[in-house]
Amino acid sequence: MRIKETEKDGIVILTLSGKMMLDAKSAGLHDYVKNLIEQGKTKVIMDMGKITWFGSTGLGALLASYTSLKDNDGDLKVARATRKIRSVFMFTQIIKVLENYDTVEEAVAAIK
Amino acid sequence: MDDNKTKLKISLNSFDDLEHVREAVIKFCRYHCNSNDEIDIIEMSLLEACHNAVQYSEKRKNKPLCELILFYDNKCIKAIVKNYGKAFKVTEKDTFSIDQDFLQYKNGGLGIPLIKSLMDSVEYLRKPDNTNELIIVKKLIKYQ
Repeated sequence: MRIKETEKDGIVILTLSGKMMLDAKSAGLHDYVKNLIEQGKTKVIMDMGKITWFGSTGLGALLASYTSLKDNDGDLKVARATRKIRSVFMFTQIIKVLENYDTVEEAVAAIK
Repeated sequence: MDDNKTKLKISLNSFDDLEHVREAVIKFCRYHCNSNDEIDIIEMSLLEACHNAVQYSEKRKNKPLCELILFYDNKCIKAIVKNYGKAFKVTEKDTFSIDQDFLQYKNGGLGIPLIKSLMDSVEYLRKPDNTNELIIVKKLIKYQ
């Protein structure tokens, strides 16, 4: 999995791509977010439109990132989750806490 | 393929074989399922199960790390994922509960709860020869 970081109006946008299930980098996503928190960046959008595989490692990384950001008065929103990822969010009830937006712009507006 | 009890068996020797599993599962499910959402769910669940089986399997000479056997039987897709190695614990909970389990799962161990959330039943069998079998069933929407 690859992570590309950009920033807009103090909000960090992480564009994720590739397989979010098989490699250590997926689990490392939480470390990446913790590093952002140490820098005082606590509002994060994860753009998941380019994720090709999604499994429990990715799910765990999302949950852990969400919890860490919330614990630091921040927030996490998801944008452009694929149909498969949206299915996982629905079946696991994660959709109750982790909102998905159709576009990054909508997610940015919601997290402001 | 016969509709009553079709069967597919795939051996995995590394993570690289997961791509082959994905293609085979999709092809198998397309024959029996009407819904793309249903195919997605079965595909993700079986990839998760096979990934974990390969990851935790112990190597044996001339034996695959993991075997996936897929059936269409009695209006269900049924999968058996076999590997050889340490026994593992299968949570008794039927679904992932975001309210209760959120913090508990953030450091891993989400594989089985995820599969349980996506599929209709997950049963674990430990065989005397130290083989683990995960039996996963999805009832097809078109018959419900």
